[in-house]
Amino acid sequence: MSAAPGLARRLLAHRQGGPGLLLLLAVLLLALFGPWLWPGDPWEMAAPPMLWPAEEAANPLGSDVMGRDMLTGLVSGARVSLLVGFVSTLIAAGLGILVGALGGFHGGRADAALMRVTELFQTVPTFVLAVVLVAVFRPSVATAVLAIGLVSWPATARLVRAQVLALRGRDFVLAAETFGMGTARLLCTQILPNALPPVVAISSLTIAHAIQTEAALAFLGLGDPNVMSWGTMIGSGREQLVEAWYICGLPGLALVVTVLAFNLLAEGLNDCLNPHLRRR
Amino acid sequence: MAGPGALSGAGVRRPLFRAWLPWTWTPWRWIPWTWIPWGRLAQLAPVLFGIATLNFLILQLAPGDVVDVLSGEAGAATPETMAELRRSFGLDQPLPVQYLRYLGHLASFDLGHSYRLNMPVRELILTRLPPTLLLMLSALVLAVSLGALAGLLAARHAGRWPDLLLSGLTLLSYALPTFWLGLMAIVLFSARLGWLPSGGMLTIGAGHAGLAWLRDLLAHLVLPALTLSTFYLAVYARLVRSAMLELHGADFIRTARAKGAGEWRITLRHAFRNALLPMVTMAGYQAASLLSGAVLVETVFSWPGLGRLAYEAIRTRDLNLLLGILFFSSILVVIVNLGIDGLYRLVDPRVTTGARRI
Repeated sequence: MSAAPGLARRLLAHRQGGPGLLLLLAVLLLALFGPWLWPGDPWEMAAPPMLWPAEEAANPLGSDVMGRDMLTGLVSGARVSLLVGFVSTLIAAGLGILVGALGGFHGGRADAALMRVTELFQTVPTFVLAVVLVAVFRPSVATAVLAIGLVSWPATARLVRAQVLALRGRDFVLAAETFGMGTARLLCTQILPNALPPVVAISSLTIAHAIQTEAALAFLGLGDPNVMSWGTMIGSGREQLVEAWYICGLPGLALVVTVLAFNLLAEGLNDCLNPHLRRR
Repeated sequence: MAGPGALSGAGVRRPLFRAWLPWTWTPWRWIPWTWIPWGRLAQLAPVLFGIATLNFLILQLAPGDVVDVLSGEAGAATPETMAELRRSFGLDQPLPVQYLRYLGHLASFDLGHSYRLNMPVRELILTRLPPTLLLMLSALVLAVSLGALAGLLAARHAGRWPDLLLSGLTLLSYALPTFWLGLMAIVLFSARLGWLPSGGMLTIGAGHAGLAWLRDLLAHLVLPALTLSTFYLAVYARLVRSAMLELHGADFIRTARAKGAGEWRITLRHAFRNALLPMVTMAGYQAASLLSGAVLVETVFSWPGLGRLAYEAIRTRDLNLLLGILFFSSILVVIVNLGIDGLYRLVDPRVTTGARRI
């Protein structure tokens, strides 16, 4: 991790990575310190219903049809979105690295079988699969995280497989194999450290997609009934869309900013972590 | 080698009306067999098998069994009737037998019964299919045509303001959630400006016919199709832009320029035709995600298709219907991919079906 400060500096200087990092920092700060600045239960009635933003100093972003404070809801939504995004991407990256590394390293039949499974998950409409999984196993944050993680690993698996295939025959790997290194040690100490940088970049994209998927699930009514997320807010504001569009609009804007941050960050990471591109 | 006599056919008695006789009627000779992607059709079977297995696994891992779900919906059921139901579903059989029975049902395209709507799932899905296909196809056509146009413009003005504007809009549209974009489009175009209807497929009770019907349908189609196409439009614009820039220094472009061809002629007839290839490939990759997007867009715009059906199934906890939609939409993706393969051969005659992997 000695490269971390250098990487942060390079990212900040990057045309897309810099704004991405700053936007992400803003969302992170909102999620971390929001509950102290604007305490309260996002489900509690705290104001007269349908208060427009900037109408009342106590509720700067207004209130929804039940009189729930919009800002408290947005803070809670930021926590949920980031949590679901990070944990489900952790699951997806773990699955993807496992499948891709095993397939790329062993080749042959194991590889063919694993690729078949990957292709299967790329054929099934992933959002429909996530909907089915969450609906069958009852909506909650845990099922959403598991379902999103389970449907978003194929891209990572393909990437890792390609990387491992490219590194498998390199001299330093063959040398380590000659020393008598076992498969697991060879993968973990020689191949994967060199294969991981693009995985970090693609994981940023996976987080962005996971956050969108979580919001879409909650919008369809498959969110955790006890947790206020941006998708839940948009879904419940649909009834008053014409009279009070801000109820749907504000959480959607928050969603756009967060997803944009991770997309920009992915572009920056892709350029900054790829030494061949940097040299050009 | 046959002698010259054999060629003349003098000694052969031919039936006069050969083409009319039923046993000499050979329709299979008219089918272009070599055009059919056999390799891909053979890949179809394991994919279908995999999806069916996935469905069965989900059903097995679900809390409770099918009968629990059904009786839960129906209210209090006595243990006797539940046992009777389990027997009729074959749930008292060992797991491998259940699995084989399930595969058999799916193979004969029997997706079960929706107890909520009291209709076979297959019929429900098939009646909701045409609107979804219409929506997906219009979104795809919009994305391809407008995206190609935007990409062409950006590539011709690379580095100048149309290009920068496009890259900004692309970034934004990657981040826009489809369902939210649809809601905001309703607010603007339907509630504020009053230009377009906010949902549905046809004006209820209007009883239009002919041209008026078509105009009504198109008015309802514009917003959902544009909403669904936004993301893909950006993807195609980016793709066409980079393909065109890559082709910029190619030999055959220089030849065309040396011949004295005009700049637009070079762009359209020489470069763009080659930029079509990655676009077709991309369309194949996007079939699944387009279907996923349709679920959300249909929900927002009350478009009476498969996605709306899925939403209703979620609302009523009709799990069997939901699983049927998952199975069927996966098949749809496979079929679309087959079609894209055919299109690929049409666009690029160098391609043989065996050479391309998914």
